[in-house]
Amino acid sequence: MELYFGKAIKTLGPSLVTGVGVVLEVTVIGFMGAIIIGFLVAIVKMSKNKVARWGMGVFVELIRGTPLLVQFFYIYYVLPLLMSNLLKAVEIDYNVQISSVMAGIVGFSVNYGCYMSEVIRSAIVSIDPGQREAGLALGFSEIQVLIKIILPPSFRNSVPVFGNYLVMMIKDTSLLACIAVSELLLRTQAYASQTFLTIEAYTLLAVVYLVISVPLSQGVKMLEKKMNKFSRS
Amino acid sequence: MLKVNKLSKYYGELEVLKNINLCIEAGQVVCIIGPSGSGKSTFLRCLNLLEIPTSGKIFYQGNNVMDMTSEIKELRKKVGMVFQRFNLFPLKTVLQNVTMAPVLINKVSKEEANNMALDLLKKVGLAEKANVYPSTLSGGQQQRVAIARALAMNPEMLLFDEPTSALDPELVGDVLDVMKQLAKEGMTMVVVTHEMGFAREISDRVIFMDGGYIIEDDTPQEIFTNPKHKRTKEFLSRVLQK
Repeated sequence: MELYFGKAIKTLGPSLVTGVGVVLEVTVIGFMGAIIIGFLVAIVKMSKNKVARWGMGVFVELIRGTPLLVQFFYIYYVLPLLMSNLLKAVEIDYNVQISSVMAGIVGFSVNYGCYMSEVIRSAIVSIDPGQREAGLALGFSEIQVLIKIILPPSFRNSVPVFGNYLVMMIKDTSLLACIAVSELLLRTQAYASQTFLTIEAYTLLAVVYLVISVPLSQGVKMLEKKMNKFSRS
Repeated sequence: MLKVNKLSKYYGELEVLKNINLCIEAGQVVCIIGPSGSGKSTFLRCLNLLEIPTSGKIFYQGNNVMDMTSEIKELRKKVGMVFQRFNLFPLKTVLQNVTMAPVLINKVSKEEANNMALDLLKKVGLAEKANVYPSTLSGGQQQRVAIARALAMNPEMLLFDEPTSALDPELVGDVLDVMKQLAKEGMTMVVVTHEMGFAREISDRVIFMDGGYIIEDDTPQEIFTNPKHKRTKEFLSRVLQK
């Protein structure tokens, strides 16, 4: 068996580097979106309003009960159609379109946001109720207490768990190949079918994922250790 | 200054405060003593509405504070509170803990707030700790920071909820000294405490609570040397024996 890794690196390599750029773009924006949505979901699910709590519960179950890949298809193909048809119903002729990268970012934000909301919720619950009381006693409003006093330590305590989700998200970007985002898998697939360097191409692909995710997860572990050392008062 | 009228508080079926009437004048130092579970902390927490009374009225400077939600915030700005477990904000430095409320609520400039905070920290003997985080401080130091934090809002009145109960015995003195200083300066204070020596020495009035009632409300001399009620006598003989 003869393998041509040198050739694969030379010809597929540059394309994969571009692909890494796409992966990072989707992951960074998608992850920030996920954190924001995660906090929103967590706060709504803890609100005093029963209807809002129930509605959010149903939404989270919908998201958690369907595969991420299906959600990408839904956001990329179905939502634009639905919206276009809705607009047509009110006599607006506008063809709603969403780029595949945007669909990926939205999908990740919503899906990961729902999963991460549980982490965030438990981080919020774990904050000593005395913190809230101290804030209120100083004259802060409930909303100020939430934003200025409760959320910062909840965020800080969630960071190590966020890190694990970040590594997962980077790997999950491979799903985006199915909605034609030219990320790593799609590029490799195209390359392999043109050159028949199947073994080399996919091995190289796996290595690229490892090179990104292993240092990142090590970093997360170190961060976790460092944060555990700082005892919370 | 503060007037409590027929206040009662239920937790479900359990009545923890029963028909409490009380008047606190400006400049008074009032200590509330009593066995655990007697409702003294709950009562104190009703005074700044951290607990919402089930019925009754609370007047601050003549205004009924239970009428309007906006009044609650105003009340809390003027009535500071110090907690048993300090409740400092762990991600903020000592200085930030003290300046946070004046800057965000009273819109004091950062510079002004910092200067005021440093003065207050000097007052509680912790000026050199301004830039450290609360977790590096001892309990007694944390509690003194908490007092400085409450003072930073320029309160007219301070509530202390067992401020020395979570402290190692050798650290109690520093906190009590700060409180004595405040009392001398004329701060109106309501202190729930187990420190009988402090109650006796500093307070203008001592209130003995038991079972959700105010049993006795008198000068410290009367309460400690000549208690009128059987339950007060029993309680004092138990705690003073130790």
